[in-house]
Amino acid sequence: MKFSEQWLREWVNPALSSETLADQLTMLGMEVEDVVAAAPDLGDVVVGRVEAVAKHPHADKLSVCTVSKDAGAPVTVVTGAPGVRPGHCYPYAGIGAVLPGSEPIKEMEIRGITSTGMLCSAAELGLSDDTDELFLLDSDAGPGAALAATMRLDDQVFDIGLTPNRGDCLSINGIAREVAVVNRMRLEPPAAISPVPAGHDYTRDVNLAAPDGCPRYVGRIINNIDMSRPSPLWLREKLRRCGLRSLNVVVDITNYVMLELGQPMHAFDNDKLNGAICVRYAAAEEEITLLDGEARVMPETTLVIADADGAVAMAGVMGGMDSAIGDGTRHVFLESAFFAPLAVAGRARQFNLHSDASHRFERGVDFMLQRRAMERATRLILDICGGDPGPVTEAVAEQALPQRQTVGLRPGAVTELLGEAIDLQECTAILTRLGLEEAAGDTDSSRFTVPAHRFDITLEADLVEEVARIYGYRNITSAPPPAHMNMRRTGVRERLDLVRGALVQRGYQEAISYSFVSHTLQSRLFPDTGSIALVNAISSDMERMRVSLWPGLLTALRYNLNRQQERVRLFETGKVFSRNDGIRQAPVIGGLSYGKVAPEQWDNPYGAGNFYDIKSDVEAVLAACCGPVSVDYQPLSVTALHQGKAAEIMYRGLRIGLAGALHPAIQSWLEIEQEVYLFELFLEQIPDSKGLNYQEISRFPLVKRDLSVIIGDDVPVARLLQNIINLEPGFETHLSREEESGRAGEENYLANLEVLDVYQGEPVAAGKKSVTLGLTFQGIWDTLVNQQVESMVTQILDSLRKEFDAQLRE
Amino acid sequence: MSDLRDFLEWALKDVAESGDERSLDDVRIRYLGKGGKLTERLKQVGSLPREERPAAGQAVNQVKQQVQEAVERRKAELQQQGLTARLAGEKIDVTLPARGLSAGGLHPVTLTLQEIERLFVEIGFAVVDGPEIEDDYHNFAALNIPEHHPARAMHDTFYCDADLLLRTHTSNVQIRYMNDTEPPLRVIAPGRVYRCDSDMTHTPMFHQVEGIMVDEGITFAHLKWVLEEFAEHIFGAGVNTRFRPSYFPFTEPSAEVDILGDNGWLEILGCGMVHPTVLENVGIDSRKYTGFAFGMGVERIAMLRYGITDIRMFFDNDLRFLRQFNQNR
Repeated sequence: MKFSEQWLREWVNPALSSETLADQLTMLGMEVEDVVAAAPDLGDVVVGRVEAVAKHPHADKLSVCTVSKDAGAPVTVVTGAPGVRPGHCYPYAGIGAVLPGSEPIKEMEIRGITSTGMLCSAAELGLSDDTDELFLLDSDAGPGAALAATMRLDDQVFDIGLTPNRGDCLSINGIAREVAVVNRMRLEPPAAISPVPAGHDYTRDVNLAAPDGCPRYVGRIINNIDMSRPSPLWLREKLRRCGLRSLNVVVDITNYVMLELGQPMHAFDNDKLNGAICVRYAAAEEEITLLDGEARVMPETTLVIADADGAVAMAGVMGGMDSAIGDGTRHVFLESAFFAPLAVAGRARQFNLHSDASHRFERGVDFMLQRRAMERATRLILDICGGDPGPVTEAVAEQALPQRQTVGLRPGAVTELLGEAIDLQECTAILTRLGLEEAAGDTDSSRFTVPAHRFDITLEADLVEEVARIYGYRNITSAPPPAHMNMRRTGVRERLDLVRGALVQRGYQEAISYSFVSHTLQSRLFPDTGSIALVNAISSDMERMRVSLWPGLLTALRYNLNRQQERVRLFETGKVFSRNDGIRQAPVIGGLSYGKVAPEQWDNPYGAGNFYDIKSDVEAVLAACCGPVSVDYQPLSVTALHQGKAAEIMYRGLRIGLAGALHPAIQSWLEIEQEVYLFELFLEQIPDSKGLNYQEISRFPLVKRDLSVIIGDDVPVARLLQNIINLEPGFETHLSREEESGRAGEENYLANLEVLDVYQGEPVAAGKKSVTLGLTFQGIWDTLVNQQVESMVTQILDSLRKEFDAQLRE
Repeated sequence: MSDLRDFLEWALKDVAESGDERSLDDVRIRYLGKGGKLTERLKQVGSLPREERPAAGQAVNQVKQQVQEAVERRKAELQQQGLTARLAGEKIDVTLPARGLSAGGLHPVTLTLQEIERLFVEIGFAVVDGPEIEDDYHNFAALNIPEHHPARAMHDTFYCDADLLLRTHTSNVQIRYMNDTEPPLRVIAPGRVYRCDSDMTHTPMFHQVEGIMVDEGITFAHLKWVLEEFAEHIFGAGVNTRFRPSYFPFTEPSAEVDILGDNGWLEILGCGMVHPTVLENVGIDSRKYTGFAFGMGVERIAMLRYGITDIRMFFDNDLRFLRQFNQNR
């Protein structure tokens, strides 16, 4: 909310600089976001009175004005502004004067007539963006007087951010109340408000047909007002400085009362109303055209003001077009009502409307304020544009009015919650200054009755907050909390950090992409996974919750390729979301690798990455997660991946992840030049780390044998290796010492098994491949003799021959 | 015996003149080998008169020893020369760049999150996680934000359907954790949150860290201490911190914490004493227990720490941006 410092100081004027005042407001919970001068420097501008106006002889749209700018002789000023009238005063900038953002004014000949200086619009003065008309000053302003003094421009506009609980501060009165409390001053309203006696007895009946939504409605007819009178300068200036536009004199006055006291009001053209006023909920399909000119059909939860013919206003939000006041209005019907926050909340937003009225009613308007506001507005209307007031009609549904709450405060409560010893006497003093009234307490607590303007105080904690606010948060001494100690085992997050570290060491850069992705891309990758759509997505790129990290990683890849990156390695951790029977939100880690294994360098031993590189990354992740673990890679056919270069990663029959090359069709659809390798591991499925067990280290020499076998090219090498491993324990090695010691068959002799080469092509027959295995044997209890090793190699060959029809390659 | 002296001179000359180990070996064989000249001379000693033999033998042996020593010396010399030459030939340019893989790095949001987590874990906070697709109850109602509450306007919420939404803050974890755990409790919940908003300072997704401590006798003074310590450690010693009254439906009293930057105060987090209604909603006796809660935007803190001005940079995943935060760049 914007407000004028000058106006605030009319209500309460502490001896503080603007800066200190701003700090004080911030520390009261009204954060001052900005303080700006109410006007730019207008030191050269004075009041000019137009004595006479003539049409320019050579130009239809120009006027030639005779302007008094001081006690001396008047000057001639040519202006193009419409509506300039003799007897009115306007800002005058003479020769040499500098207006904001302009060059000094020079004498100018305009179509044959010399113009000495200029008359200014609000835009030329830098006051608003209103360029059309000259800025009208009050007629009693003396020619030659400095504009800054006449307009009291030595003012600043404070812009404060108000939290939704402090609807009571959406007025000068409300802010002044807080300033008075914290400075221990009395609030002194500049104008006393007293009942304005009625001059006639025309009234309009008011029926409260929805008392829960509107328990109090105050109305009054004022006849014979003069709408042609301009709003006085002081009124327009106050509105302007508070960020409101001047519309017409009556609307300006109701807005002024809203800013001053916090009561939103509405003025109807009384001649356009028919019969009694009824405050009710909208009828089915009821339609209204509001002041913004748009027709709307209202749901039946909309509170409306209606006359005999139907809705004339959306209660607390905006008035209707048909009953609006205008230039021709002679008689007005003024409304000052209390609409319950819940009856207004959300309505404006629902219609995509926001009004100063709805903003206040949603947050809660003082429910005792309506009659005072009515008297204040009446007095201002009579003073400014005359008129004849009728009696005030007040309809009240007492039982539906909010009740003033009485809240208890235990003597120790403040210290218990704040940790600062503030004695009860001081607490009581603070609360009393805030307008709470001490009520009859009981033995163990004081009780306070909350004023009608505070909707946010209902609990003891609320009272404590009020005490803390006024006492000052900065005066509360910080203290370390007492703590129960407990040790914890390493958790999921530490495990995640290890995984991240492993990938970073392997050259991956961590990415964070949005959890919502393009449905087009995602459904191309995962057509069969049920994804979750957002009802109110902000763009088609962000319309579905991701079912995998791959859409985000591929988007990031394309972003970087478009910026000439040639090698991209990215990983991400986060949740993926899918809908099957219910909503599934599962943490995963995924990666993408594109281009060479290592960065471009002068002596690069690495080529383009392939499946086995990403497999090694996957294994590094698994090792970081859970240490040595035995997983299987099984060929996989899914839409997203190249079916010849894709695997599902299985642990004890459960899929724990996927890895492979992006499907070439999708790759070319995404206009990506080279192969892209992807992996994703489901963190919840990865087993926990098992305890590690020490194994005896052999003192005996290693015996190495290389073995090349020819097998069918469709035999997975993993099966070959498994077959060999399965021969242990139990190689028949005829070690007599073992037999003696009873350890036969318990020993593992195969210390290591490696794949040294896989070869296809001449001289290996078509449909076959040659696999070279590196076997390392070692005894734990004794040195292996040649005969034993040969025996084991023979057993291996026999087994491979039997299982895979393997031939020894000579 | 003079010829023996000449002989020694020739031999020593030949040794000295051998340019490599092979020619030195030839010299050795020529003089000292089985058919070598000195060996021959030694054989000739046997043909001398008996009384001359010891002296002649000794003389020849002396020469032989001298030649042998000269060969050994020369051999060592040549080996040393050879090694020096080899080393000279094997010289490389040690200023060339290192080769191999180079490490990547963590995202600046992760780096900031890890730092935040570390600080709170050190004073005994556990790290917990919660769902990102959440129901209205846990995101709003249980946190004392009923439907139509003006505070909902502060949260532009993404909806999946009538009840399910993307959490607008990590405060939902408060509710879930307190529902399951009896006080005393002390946890932080980092994670992604979502709001329909996008400009220089807002992205539709960002990260928050929620913290909560509930126990007997926890006060606002304790909250101040914890967050002041935090600010000191994350922004550097001597940082100027202020607690400013604010409003959140789920805390009372509520505050916002600002730090003093070069251009005035900057808001870094929101906090307060857990609202008694929230405690009652999760079945904690608000007469017995009090607690504090706080929530901070991680990107905002990362922006302050690294001097980033456009929050959207975090989610473009531009390698030229990401690499700037690598330890080994």
